[in-house]
Order: sequence, then C-alpha cells, then structure tokens
Amino acid sequence: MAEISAERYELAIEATRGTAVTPPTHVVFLDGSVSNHSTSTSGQPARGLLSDRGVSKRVRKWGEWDMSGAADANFMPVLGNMAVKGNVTSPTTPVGATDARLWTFPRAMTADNLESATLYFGDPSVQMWQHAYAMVSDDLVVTADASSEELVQVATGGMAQFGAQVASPTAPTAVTPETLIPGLTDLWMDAAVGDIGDTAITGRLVSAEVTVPTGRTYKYLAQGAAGTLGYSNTGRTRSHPTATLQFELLDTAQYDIFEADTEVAMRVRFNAEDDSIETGFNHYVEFDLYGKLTEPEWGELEGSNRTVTFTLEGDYVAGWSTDIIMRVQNAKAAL
Amino acid sequence: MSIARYYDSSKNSGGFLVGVPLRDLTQEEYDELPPYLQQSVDASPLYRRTKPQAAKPAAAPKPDAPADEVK
Repeated sequence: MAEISAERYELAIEATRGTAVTPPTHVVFLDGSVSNHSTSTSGQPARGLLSDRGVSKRVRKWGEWDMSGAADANFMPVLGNMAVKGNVTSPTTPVGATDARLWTFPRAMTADNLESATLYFGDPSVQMWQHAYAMVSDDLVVTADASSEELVQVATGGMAQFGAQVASPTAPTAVTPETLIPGLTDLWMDAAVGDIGDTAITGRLVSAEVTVPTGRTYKYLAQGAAGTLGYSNTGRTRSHPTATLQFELLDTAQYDIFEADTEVAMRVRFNAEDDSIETGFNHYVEFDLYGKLTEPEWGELEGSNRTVTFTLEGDYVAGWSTDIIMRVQNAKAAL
Repeated sequence: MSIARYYDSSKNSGGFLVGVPLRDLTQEEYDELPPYLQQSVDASPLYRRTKPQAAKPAAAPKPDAPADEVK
C-alpha cells in the first residue's frame, strides 16, 4: 500500500511549456501533493424517471498541486522562476563574497515568462504520476511570525496537466534545505524608493507576510477529436503584491504613516543565522515593495499588549520597472 | 562485506540522494535500495563501481640546473 512517508515529490523546470521533462531535477522538501481531476457532464436527462442525469461524458481533465512548509533558501529560486520572474538561471556574486550567490527576481511586468514545471508525485513502491505544464496560480506567500516557534513558511500551488502514471524516474541530487528563522527577520521602512534599506525598524515587528500573485489563467480550447481535454494555453491578468505587517504598538510611528497617507518603501528580509554561508553572508529571502499602509487592525500579543497590523499594497515603481523585487541569497551557483 | 558502490566525495558539491548515505555502499545496502534508487545511484556521479584513485602526492620540485659557465 502507498506509504505517505515514502512519497516522492519532485519537479523539473520545463524548457518548453507543456513538454514534460524527465527525470526530475529538484526534490520538493515541502508538504503538499498533486492530484488528478476531471469533469463529466450529463446530456439529456432520462425521460419519465426521477433521475436528472442521463449519459455523461468527460469534458475536461486537469491536475492540481500545492506546496507549503518551511521556506528553503536553496529552493526559493525555483519558486521565484515559477511565480515572480522566469529565466533567472544564474546568480550574481555579492561584493566581498566567495561562496554566497544572490538571485534577483523583479516581478515580470511586460512578458509572461514565468516557468512551468513537470511534477512527479507518488509512492514509488505503488505508483508515481507525472504532471506536465504545472504553473503557479495560487499566490506565492512567505510568512514569518516571530511570536511563534515555526520557521519562516512558504505556500503556493496551481494547476497542471492531468497526470500520467509513469515508472519511477531516477532521483535528483538533493541539497540540504536552508531554512529561515522568523525571530531573525529584518525590516526597513523609508519614505523614498531611493532610500530603501536605510531605516531599520527594530524592536516592534511581530510578523510579516508577503504575497506575490501571478494572475494566472488557464485556457481550454478546442483540440480536435484526438484532443487531451486539458488546457491548451495559460494567460495572466493584472494583479499587485501585498505585504502584511504586524507591529507591537510601542508608539504611533507606523500609524502616523497610515494617517498621513504617505508612501513607504519597505524591505523585509527573512534571515537564516548570521554568517550561515560565510563570514558576512547568510541565507535569506528578501522583498522590496513600495506603497501605502492601509487597513489597520488592532490585535494583541501574548494577551498583554496591543498590536496593529497594516497591509501595504505594492505600487508599480517606474525606477524598478516592477512592483516587487524578490531576492534570494544562498550558496548555489545554479538552480 | 563487499563494496557495491564507492562514494566519490570529489564529485560532491553539497548534494545527496534522499535515502542513500554519503559513503561507500555495501552489496547488502545496495540490494536493499528500491529499484529506482539503485538506478539513481548508478546514474549519479557521486557513486561509482570502482574505488576512486587516491590523490597522488605532489611531485618534489626538481633542483635548478647549474648556469652555463661563461668562458
């Protein structure tokens, strides 16, 4: 019988959308699964009977996938290519670094270059499925809650083509996940985009969550008698990123920004331990956004202190040519 | 116990195969791997059927040849 503990969950970025890649190249060290779905629609109801369903036929087939768990700085560039900006295959080397590498993902604004992936899922002792053309349509969400004992979390998902049963492919070489710690999160807030990263906000950030949408749509077209009943193409609608920040209410510094209706250039960096790559360089995932603080909500911390949570709606920044930049620092020279 | 596959650390830049130890595999250990992992081990540059050669010590530098005398 299929053992959950034995399940493989792996993927490979596709060179051409919809053309399956074998074998997989990355292990997905996250919770989640991939499943097949279909719609069967009934024609005319059976006459003279109480049944409202006559002969039915399958009209659509698709797969659904999701991933969630501790964010891994080694795997985030793969998700960055699928959800933020595609074709980012080689990092830069930060000044002064030997081993550290910096991957930069300004959200794609003028081209739909997000990558698709072939997903592999299943217990190899029973059956594995291969799903081509997997694309992110659920938002990419990264969350850090310093008041909890969880690691920084990432969640995303989407659709894929209907999965085929395949023989177990050879396993990819895995890399030990480099997880991130909410209590080590950095936050900077400045008035001007050019000053982003100057003013550290310390001693009050409780939690931070960044949501990067893709606006992905799936399009089903007529394919002829030999068609697969899967989606033929994908598209993207307009969307914008957001950040949700919860502060302990030590004073009204952040509330005054909301009340003054001024823009904020925000950088949040989800860190691993100091010097985790080499002296002066640690693993991290960071986001830059620019926009206004909205929707203040009162909350509480440990039942003793008041907090205030704001949502920052990310505006398009002409100087960036985008509305959000994700950066990942790790020690990997390739995806 | 005979060694079925030798681990070649010189080929490793920080990766591993999930479920396979990063060391030499005995025949018993290799036989106990599921078929897809046996195939993965055989396809991976991290493991080989023959023992990797030990790195040769650096050759001692040759003494400088005496300069030709000018007569």
